[in-house]
Amino acid sequence: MDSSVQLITDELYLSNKTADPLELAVLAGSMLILLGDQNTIAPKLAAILAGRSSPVSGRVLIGEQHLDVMSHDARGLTAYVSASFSCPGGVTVSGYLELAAAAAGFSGKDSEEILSQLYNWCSLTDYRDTPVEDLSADLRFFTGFAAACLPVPKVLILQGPFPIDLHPLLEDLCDSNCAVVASVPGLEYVPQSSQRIALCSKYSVAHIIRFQELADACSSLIRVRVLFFPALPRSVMESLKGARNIIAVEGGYQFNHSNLSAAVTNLANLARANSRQIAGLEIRSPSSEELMDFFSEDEDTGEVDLFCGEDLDI
Amino acid sequence: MRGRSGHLRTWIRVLQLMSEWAVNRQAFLWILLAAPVAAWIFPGQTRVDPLTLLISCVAYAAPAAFLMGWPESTARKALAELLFPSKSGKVALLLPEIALPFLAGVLPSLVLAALWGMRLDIIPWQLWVVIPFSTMTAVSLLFILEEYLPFSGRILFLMALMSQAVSAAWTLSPVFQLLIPHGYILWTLRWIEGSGAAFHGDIYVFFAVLEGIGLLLLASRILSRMPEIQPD
Repeated sequence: MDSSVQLITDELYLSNKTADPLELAVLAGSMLILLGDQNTIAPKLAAILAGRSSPVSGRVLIGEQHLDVMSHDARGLTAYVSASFSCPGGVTVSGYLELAAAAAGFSGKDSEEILSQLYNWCSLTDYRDTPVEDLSADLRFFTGFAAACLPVPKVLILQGPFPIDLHPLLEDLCDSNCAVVASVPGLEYVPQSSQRIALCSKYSVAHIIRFQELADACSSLIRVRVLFFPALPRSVMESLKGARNIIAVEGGYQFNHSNLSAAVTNLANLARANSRQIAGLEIRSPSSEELMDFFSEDEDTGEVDLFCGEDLDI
Repeated sequence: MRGRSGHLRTWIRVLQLMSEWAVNRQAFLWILLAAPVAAWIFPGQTRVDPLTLLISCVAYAAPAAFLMGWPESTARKALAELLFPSKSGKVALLLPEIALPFLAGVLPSLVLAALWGMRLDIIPWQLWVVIPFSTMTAVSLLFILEEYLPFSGRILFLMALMSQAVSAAWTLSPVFQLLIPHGYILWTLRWIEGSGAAFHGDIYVFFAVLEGIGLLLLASRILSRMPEIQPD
């Protein structure tokens, strides 16, 4: 086994409705995003990878020793942060993190030093004496995240959505060789530093793609909806350079364009040239289904996926 | 970098959080007093000596005041989520959450037993053994009932506790006295007094030890399960 592989699945079935096991490997220092909302397998898969939920069958192995993530020996190697993380009533941020540090076995003196660094890193210094229940959702997530980093685990699993301010911290963790797996409900939550994105369907992972592939797919699948005042004839709209799949909607048109900035510039020019006002402009990112359809069209590229256990010959 | 002091601080903090959770709810006092008060106002009144009844009830009612509702509480779930994933986390939660209700039951019961025994020349050793093991049974039984019969379990527990005070003839039957562990302390006390006990005090001690250890092992297994995450 490659020593840099931190998490790997073994004959893992997430549902009775899937024919093949899920093959997934997460490398040290990398970030894997499980993209899918609550109706997909993504949140459940995150819990399974963290050893906090049982799969239909199969195992998740962690570290060089292939420890079952649900075994006692694997405790402390993974950490799980949930968006709905709870805290005993009245406990302050410092109280919660001191308890987390004590549970991790840090002595009083060490925990003081580590916690002061942690408050700075997570921007929690001003909230040390605030009860966790009184914090905003974002700050609560930061508190849960800070507790999970005591000490930094081999694999950190997050249940999103989480604040965008957390992205640089996740990068820091990856730099320190921690593998990060995050389940997020939409494209807008995907951190730029993620290497692989698993597109999750209702019962399984449909595709695992690179960040750039996702970015390219979003560019070509992005849908623009524009409303003109007064209405613009379709023949004029069809002259818009790069516009594809133009559909008339009430008061305007909807179309795909591979270059968003060019589309907006061209639309403004088109409106000015025809003495029209842009009465409304909406840009919609592709849905999960559209993305899955997009990648289903060009499957089997023959390329080796470094994050797929089979391709790694493990 | 790491030391035992961290674990000690965790235990102390868990004890503190659990006591705060228990004492800050209105039900605490009611649960604590439920059995003796209910027994006292029970139709027909009890003929059991009030101090004897109190010693027996405290050993069961005090743990109940700390444990009823605790396994399902947000505080316990939050602590389990935080502590269980770490290597020593299970012990860090289980030890204090068993120790606190155990001590809350056993200490006052032993003190009251010592007061009760002052009128005797010598207090038989059986009393000092039956009280801790009966309290251990109470703690374990409560955890098991809270897990499998959260509501009806509480009613059963209270009824079993109240049945000790009933002065009817069937309470003197050997089957009843062995079947309801809530009465082991009472029957040991009454054996010492020489009234009403169907067996020698050693029998109550034997069953209290057996049930105390057996149920504690079972409760520990139930409590040490990692809480599964149910995505919203």
